[in-house]
Amino acid sequence: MTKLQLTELTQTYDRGKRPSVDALSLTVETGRICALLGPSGCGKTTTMKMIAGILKPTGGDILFDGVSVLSVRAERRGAVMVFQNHLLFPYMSVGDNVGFALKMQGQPRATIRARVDEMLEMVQLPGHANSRPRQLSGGQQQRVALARALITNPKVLLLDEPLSNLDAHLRDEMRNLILRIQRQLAITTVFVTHDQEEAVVLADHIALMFDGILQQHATPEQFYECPVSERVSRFFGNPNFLPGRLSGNRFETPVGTFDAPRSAMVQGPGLLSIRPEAIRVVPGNVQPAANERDARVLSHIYVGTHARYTVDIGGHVLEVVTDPEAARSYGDGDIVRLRFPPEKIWIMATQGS
Amino acid sequence: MTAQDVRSSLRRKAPRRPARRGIGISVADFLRWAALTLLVLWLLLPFVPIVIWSFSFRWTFPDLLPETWSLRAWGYIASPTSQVASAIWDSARIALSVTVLSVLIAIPAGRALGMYRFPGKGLIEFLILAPNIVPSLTVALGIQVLFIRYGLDNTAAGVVLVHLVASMSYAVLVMAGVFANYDPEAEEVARTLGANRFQTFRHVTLPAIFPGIVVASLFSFLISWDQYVSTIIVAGGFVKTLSVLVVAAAGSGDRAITAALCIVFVAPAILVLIVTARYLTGENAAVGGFGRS
Repeated sequence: MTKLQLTELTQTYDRGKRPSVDALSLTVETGRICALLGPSGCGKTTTMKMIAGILKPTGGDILFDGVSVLSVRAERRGAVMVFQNHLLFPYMSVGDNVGFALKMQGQPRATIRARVDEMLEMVQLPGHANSRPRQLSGGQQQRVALARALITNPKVLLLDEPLSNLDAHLRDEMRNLILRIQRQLAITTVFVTHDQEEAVVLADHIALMFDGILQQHATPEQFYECPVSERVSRFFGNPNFLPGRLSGNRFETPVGTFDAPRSAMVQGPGLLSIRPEAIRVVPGNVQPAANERDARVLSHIYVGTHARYTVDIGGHVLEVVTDPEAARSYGDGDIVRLRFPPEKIWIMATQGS
Repeated sequence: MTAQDVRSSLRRKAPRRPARRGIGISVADFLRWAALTLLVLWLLLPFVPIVIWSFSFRWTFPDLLPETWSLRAWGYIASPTSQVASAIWDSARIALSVTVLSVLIAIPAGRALGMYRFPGKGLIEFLILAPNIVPSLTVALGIQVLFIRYGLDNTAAGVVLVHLVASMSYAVLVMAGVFANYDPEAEEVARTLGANRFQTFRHVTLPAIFPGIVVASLFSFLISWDQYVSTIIVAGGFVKTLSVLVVAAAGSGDRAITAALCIVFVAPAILVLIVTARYLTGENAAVGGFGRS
């Protein structure tokens, strides 16, 4: 039950060089899951280690429930880390791993054993206390690591790429387990990942970082519907952008004017973004309606559940994802009419302005 | 598939080995045993004449075995006049002190050299190795001048220090290799789980580097046990280690006594090696170059 706040948190490894984490301000409400998302080297792991107390920040503050914890050493801070590699101590049994934190506190052996059994029960590995870590599968080891982290009821849980090393079917299982336990204990959780899909399925909200700087802190939906910049939008898999100029609810582009009621800006030069799955293929035998444009198919891929088209519209290349039926109707070189629903269009400022 | 599944499936497959039951042993097995036997003989054969010498009274050239057998040499070694018992004690406490000190130095030094990059690292590595590149006589003579100034000449402490110069470079080298393959993330996890620095070292770092400590100890002990020149120069006539007695006996020309002393000298080394052998090879190997079979 802890509210986590980072204020202007900064880490500069080498004096004079660009900070690895630059004035990061972020609030994670009690019991929420926040993803620190970004490409490798963006400062997310550094941030996690600062929260844990392993790394001393060079600037800013970390607050648990409004109280600074900078002077609290890692072993007393109550922010536990679960790494992706080096999950468990290999020379200890599973039970000794899970009971490690209690043993460090000097708890009596009987208490530790009871708690260990309870925790193993919670991660659905009852009766594995005497196994060796190497006898368990990767997913099982991860569950043991989670049990080990949670045995002391920590204030903050820190996870490093919790789903990355798992197979597709294990990912779902692990995701559900983490969510169930996290909700049950209502523990404030921060995890780092480079995988936007992992962030979207697991997090209540996502903090996206590039080069040590927080870009956007929002819910997963908002990253799809109203990204703050082209780079953020591209990171979430959107390749479709048209430059132009906003005036009122109308956005003028070299390929025509679009109705665009949703916008991050009032007027002036901007960028239209629309996700590939939001663009509709419509019959092309009548006069084009508003927000409809003809485009030429450059290439297409049939993927079973959907078809992916690359189209050319007035010299701009866009991607369109449609239902697989369309794949039978249009081939490369064909003209296809596309509808850009106004409610799916998002206008944002061009970078640098 | 769990590890247990893997093991049971391996067990099921085990009997389907290419059967060559005719003579009961395959060519590969035969060659392996032959090579092993050769290796053991190679190592043990030189000991045969030494053992015989130690029990001989007179053994002259054309004879395959001594003319007269005797326990004279062993009786001499057991007697107080030979000073063997006190030499074993001196050698042992000096070698153990050297071992403890060089491992205590090698753990932090190896960690720094194995895990971090810092300015002057190459120079430090060179300085640690330097005493073993220069002939030991030169090193010992140079050190002795300093020892006289500080009153360390002719003392056991001085002998420990001069042995340490030789043993430390090997110990640091071993520990640097161990730490080069060591990831401190496990320590960080332990810290966040509530372990203080000492507990982290005791429960996380130490078990991980333990095989390396055993190997570094083995090297340090044997190097100190083996030192002769440096001991003589720093404390000649005052600190009589076993190696000093062996060399003195060899100089005296009494082959029976020299041989008996040699056996006493080698025995602890072999004992230490046998106890620590499992850390030199196999799954727990600290030194990757020795292979993991």
